[in-house]
Amino acid sequence: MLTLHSFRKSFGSQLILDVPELQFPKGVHWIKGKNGSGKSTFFNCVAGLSPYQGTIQLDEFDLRSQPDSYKLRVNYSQSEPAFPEFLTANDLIDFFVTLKKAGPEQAQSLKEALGVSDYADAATGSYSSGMLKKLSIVLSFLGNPDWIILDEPLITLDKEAQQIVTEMIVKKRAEGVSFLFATHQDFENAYIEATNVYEVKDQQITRLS
Amino acid sequence: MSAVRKVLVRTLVKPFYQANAGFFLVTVGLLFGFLKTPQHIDIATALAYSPLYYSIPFALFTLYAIKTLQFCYTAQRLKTNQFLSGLVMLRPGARVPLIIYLQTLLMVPALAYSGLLLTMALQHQLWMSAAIVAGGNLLLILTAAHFLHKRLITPVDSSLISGFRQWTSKLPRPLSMLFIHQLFTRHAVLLLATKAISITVIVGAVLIFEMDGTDYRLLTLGMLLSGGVNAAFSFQYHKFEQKDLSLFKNLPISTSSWFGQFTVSYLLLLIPETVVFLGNTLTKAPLSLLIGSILLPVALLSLYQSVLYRKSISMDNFIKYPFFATAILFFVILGYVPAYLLGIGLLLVSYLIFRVCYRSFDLTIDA
Repeated sequence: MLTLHSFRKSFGSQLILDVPELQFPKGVHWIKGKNGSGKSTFFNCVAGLSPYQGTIQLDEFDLRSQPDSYKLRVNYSQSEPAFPEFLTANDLIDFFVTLKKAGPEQAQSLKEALGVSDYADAATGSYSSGMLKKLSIVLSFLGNPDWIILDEPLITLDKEAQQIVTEMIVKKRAEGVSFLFATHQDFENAYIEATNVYEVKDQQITRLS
Repeated sequence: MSAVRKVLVRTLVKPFYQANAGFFLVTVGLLFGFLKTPQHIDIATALAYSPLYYSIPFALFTLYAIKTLQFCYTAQRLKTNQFLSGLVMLRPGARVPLIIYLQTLLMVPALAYSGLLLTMALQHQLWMSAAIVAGGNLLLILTAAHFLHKRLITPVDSSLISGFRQWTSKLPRPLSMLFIHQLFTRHAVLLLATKAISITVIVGAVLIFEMDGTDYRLLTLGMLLSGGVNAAFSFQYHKFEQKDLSLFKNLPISTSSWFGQFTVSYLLLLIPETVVFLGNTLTKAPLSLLIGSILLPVALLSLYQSVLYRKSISMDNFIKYPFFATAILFFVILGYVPAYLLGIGLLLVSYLIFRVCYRSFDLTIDA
């Protein structure tokens, strides 16, 4: 269970999110909202990239007081991934494999599934946005996370890759991994049914269904 | 047109001064900290006296102009600056004066000193020298503007650019080396220029020590100034973290590890200075002083980086910190405080500041 308690996020004096209490049980949770509503900001906080007020807890692990244990269990794919341009995909994957305690076989299989192996030795500075997105998704599936946060996982991907990512999510879901994702595309299809749908609006995160 | 001018100044001129703040800090500090006004005037008069002597500052100004061009070429290649290729849509009659204006702004420090030389030449009625100083500067600005103009209207690849890429790509890439790679990839000229100046400062300090023979404080002061020259790298590292390493904050890397990583980065970055320093002082000073002096710039850069986590600040506001730190430590060192105590103490302070500020700092937003 991912729990937020007295969660607030501000940039300077501008309040972005104010969530007194929210729980995400295990499952697939679709976060909707207009551009600029705070979806990515919310994800950045839950992934440990941005500071916040209040508490974010995954089961018994609090993000603030037990960041290492928490971050081993929560992975993240950003909407617009950015990496040091001189690193190759293999460099980044090896790095994440070590820290997320993943196996090299898992990394290899993920790379092959999304076709990242084809350009894994080239520096990320030469990648297109679609290639960066694929790499970002590979990184987010490494290790043994309990939760994977996907911010716009399908944008800039070709049709084939979109299908593959959908299948990867279904497979991970069957293994017990939960998902938080944001997308403007109609993500629900024959394969994925969101456990809950939420909307970020007026600094609140409200469950719609 | 003012909108175009404003954007170009903010894209090319302001970042140039921000990136070279450390260089200016030490140059101005050295020139105006150690020399008194009458000495400055005497030097300026001597340089302006004859065209032959003027060739010395002219050569330095030429190198400085090349530095400005290199910076603009690198800036042009950034993905975020690709819009600059739109300059070609301006008619030449508007474009050329604009580029000359930009180049003049970039050359302000050189022009300021040339102004002093010109004043001295005119005061002593050295009309030929005055004409050469004025003409030389005009020629330099127009030549540099010509190259800048030609470059800005030519589309360039925004992918990896540095000629160092070939051999630096072979270097290992643990977390502590990523910033070094970034410098070689995107700021190779800045890196080399900074190293050259930093090493010159250290060699100068060693030479003065050798003349005196007994005052070890001079060695520590040299390393302190070297830390000042390299200070801008702390800001660059911070920006690099914000832009390219934000996802790394999702990794289970402890706060202490993160601090250790960038401290090691600075240790590696200062290898050239360490080699030059030790090469010239190993048998001439106590080991504790040498180690403390080497630790001092490392601790300073770590301190500046830790301070940057306190709140998001711009380069203009950041530069106060190395300036005041260098000034305060200057007198502390003159007060015979042992170098090793300073180095260790500063490192501890920077770790404590880092621990307090890192978690509450938002890496995902820009200053």
